[in-house]
Amino acid sequence: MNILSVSAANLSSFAPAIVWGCLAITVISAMIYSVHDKLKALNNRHHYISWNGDEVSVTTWNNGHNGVSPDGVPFYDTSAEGNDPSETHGHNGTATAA
Amino acid sequence: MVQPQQHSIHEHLKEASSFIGNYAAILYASGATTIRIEKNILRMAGEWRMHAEFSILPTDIIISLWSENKEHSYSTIVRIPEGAINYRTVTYLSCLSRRTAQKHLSIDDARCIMQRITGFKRLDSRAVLFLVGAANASFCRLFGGDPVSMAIVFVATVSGFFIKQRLTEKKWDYRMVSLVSACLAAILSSSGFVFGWGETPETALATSVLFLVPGIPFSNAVSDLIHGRYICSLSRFCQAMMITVSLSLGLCLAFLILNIKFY
Repeated sequence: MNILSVSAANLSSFAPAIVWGCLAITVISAMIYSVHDKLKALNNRHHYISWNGDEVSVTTWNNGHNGVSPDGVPFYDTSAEGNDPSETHGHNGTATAA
Repeated sequence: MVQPQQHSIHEHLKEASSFIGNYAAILYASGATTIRIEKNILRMAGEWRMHAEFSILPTDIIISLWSENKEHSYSTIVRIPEGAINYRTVTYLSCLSRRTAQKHLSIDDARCIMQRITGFKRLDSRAVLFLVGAANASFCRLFGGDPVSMAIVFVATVSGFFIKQRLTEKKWDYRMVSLVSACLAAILSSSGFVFGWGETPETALATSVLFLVPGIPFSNAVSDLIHGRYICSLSRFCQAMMITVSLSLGLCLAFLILNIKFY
């Protein structure tokens, strides 16, 4: 059963080189990825290089009582003290970044 | 003036609305069908004595929760996150919905459980790589490929899927990812023709790109179509078609590069 009707009679003369080249690219990129992964793990253990490119900030509303943490987890002020409900109604649409 | 009891009801609705909106968005992104999401939402809202009215759209979930006596409501729009399909998340979140109804879980308990479910680590990418390669080699066997062709398909699939994983990590467009992966897998699987390996090189070539076929979006599109959720169905079908067209272009590009002709 032929599931694909193709003819390879006029294959490009570069075909073997192309196949080996693609295989080499895959193997090299796998090796680079593996080394990069190991270096990252090493850096995480020993902190040779450190940076702070974290631009995610807490978003709050209702005077900071309610909001969303940098991880995207919403938090709420469960205590009713000092939490004016009318303000909650008024400010839900205008969340401000802290 | 707002009464304290009303305030409490409002806060309760707000918490439930936020939770259910996020719950539905995660389910959609993980590959659940629209009818499954609707059933789960209604089950949980019913348990918490609320009426839920919602629209599930391809990019957002719009949900309004009403108190039992329909005097108070809270509406939320939650954007559906970009996420890889994860059936384990779908299964566990559906279980969470049933458990909420059976064990009378509170919103806080349900939120804690959902955070744990979404925090589960996915299967190791190297294990996935091996399993996908083995699955595609099995497809080759099913279509009549010999052991040599199966080995070629395994190597081609592992290489194509590895490139797909890395390019997706680099936030490449999913159409380009499909095109490049398909092209690479097709070039490698044509080694049967190039070097004369095996008796069924055409089977190896044809089955080498099957790992890219978007089966889940297609089946979800059909499910949504059957249940009359036409917008989601159309969206999922279009996305699946884009991937299919990209992988076909990748295959044709490989044919062009190697000068393999259709007849």
